[in-house]
Amino acid sequence: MWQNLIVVVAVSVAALYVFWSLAPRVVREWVATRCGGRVPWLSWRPDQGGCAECAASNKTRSSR
Amino acid sequence: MRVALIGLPNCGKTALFNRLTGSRQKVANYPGVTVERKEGVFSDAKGERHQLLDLPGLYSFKPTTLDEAITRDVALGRLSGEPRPELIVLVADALHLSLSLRLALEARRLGLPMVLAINRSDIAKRRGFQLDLAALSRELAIPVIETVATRPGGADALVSVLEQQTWEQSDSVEWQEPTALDVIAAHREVARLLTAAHHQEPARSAAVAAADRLLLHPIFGMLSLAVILFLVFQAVFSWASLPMDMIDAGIARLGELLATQIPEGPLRSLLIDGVIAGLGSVVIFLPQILILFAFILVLEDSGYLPRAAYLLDRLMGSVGLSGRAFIPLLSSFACAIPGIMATRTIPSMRDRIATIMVAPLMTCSARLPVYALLIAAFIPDRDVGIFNLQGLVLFALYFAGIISALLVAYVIKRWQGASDQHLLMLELPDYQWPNPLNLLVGLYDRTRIFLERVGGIILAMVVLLWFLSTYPAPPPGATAPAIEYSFAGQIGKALAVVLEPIGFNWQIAIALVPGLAAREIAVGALGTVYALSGSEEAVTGALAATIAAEWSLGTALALLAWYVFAPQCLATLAVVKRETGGWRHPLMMAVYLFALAYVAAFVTYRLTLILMGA
Repeated sequence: MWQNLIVVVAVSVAALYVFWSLAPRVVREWVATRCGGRVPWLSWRPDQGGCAECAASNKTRSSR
Repeated sequence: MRVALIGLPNCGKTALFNRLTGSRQKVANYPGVTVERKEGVFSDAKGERHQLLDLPGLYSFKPTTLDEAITRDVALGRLSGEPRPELIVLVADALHLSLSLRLALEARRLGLPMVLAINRSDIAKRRGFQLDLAALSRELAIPVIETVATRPGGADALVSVLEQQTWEQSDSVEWQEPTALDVIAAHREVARLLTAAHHQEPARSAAVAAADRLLLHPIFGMLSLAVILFLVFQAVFSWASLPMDMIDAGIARLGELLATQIPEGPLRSLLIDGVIAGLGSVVIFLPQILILFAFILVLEDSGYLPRAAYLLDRLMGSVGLSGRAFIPLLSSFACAIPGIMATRTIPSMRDRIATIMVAPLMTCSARLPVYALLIAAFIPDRDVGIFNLQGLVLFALYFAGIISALLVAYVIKRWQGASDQHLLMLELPDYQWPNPLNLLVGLYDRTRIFLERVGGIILAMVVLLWFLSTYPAPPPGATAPAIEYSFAGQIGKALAVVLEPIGFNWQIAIALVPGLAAREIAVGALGTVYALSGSEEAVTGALAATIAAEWSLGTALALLAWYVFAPQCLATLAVVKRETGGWRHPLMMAVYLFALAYVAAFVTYRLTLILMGA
């Protein structure tokens, strides 16, 4: 029983993650707007979802 | 205060940006690395925080390329949502001071306060460079300081000027692009300034000149390039076997440990058949990816890459590509996305589109796991003369990608008609020994990126694939492996109808679909699918042995041919849409790559069947 519960949660989270990673920009922006910008990772640039290298190189805000 | 770094390409702006902000933006020893604005924050000794903008390099404020236009627009406050900078730090290269001063004279017309930072003064001084900073500062009526961006403390003089001075903002000025007459006048003014500042030009290094005589030679230069590339691919196979064996053993041990700790049930299957088998199949290729990137980083840092662009200009020109396309295409060996963005340095829109369209044919690092898996499974690990056969095949696959790109570019050229001729004007930087710290940081970043990808989208995809491959459960009395009755099994068998002519089975069909999100997921998917099909070897990470036993040589070669042209990942299509401003080009790209992949796999499979006498 407990194994089933963990599996259901893991598969649901994975499905949401994949959906969000591959969702078109319009969907992401719609959700990000609905959340009023309170969830920062929602504004993650959609067209870099598959390119971790680009996403990393664009984390440009830094301080010494 | 909002400070913008502006200067010639490859003068050290990004190195200075990294030095000031503690950031780790990519730096390399060739022009055109930065094609977008980057933003960071740094604090001076008083604790005052400054916003710092790193902008693409430019030779003039009359731009000829997209990346130069970005710098001009930011400096003029024309970019929407981007406030105008309050101060310009004009980064001048001490080795090419006259060009930098001409840009400084143009920048002065922007009406913004400015500091002139003479960078790389350490290298220049070793070659006899002399300059009276105070005299130049008087003549230009702006602060002039020296920086060595690559050295700790090398930007202190700049920070100190920023905190000591007050910067008065002038009213906005009517900006006009410099005319030819302005440029001539600027050249005269630069000559006068250099005389007034007692400038002594640094001597050209004799060693650089000697190296260039060999490496830029039409025959020996090309031979050297071929040898360098060949060695890279040999090393990828020869050097990686020990760490790969260690990772393989670690994954197998982890699988065994979980099997003893977790009772039989869906969670155990998810962890062992899904996560361990899927992720283990991908993680094992990390050493090969790191070896490939170590060579790329060394070449980038050494100053060799612009020479390679120069050598290949004639070849690339003959198929309708600009010599400037070399760097974007080379960047595509890491990932097509930064390669496509780097095409902003190509002045002609027609040449730029042609380069974007062929960039996905360069073998990106995500394809390396697929190649390596199939080579390990089907190509014997033996030497041919002094070469390793597996390394030779990997080299041939990369070479096939390059030749295909050139052929497709040629077709695009014929289709588009005559292209404007653009002479290649490329600054050849000095050679330098790669900085070991840069190399280590680069490899660390690469490892982190790879593992984040494995722990992110690949993990999520593998979990989903496990679910689709496990449910629904087989009917009572079923004899075939359970996966054949699952959602994924049914989808795979439906797709297999289309893929059967090219030799792909239903397991491959299942793996190709998630492979659209990221190519290396195909390997993880195969790991999961074969683990659920009951193969003990796949569970322990030895996926290569499993597919060697189950696939024909024709199927393996057809899959390799498919992945030479592999329909690119969705993220690449999204970036092509952004860079070309519409869906036309990404759609054309997807269609032609699918068609090429199918035809290449079909021909390879059928030819292998004929040759093997089947």
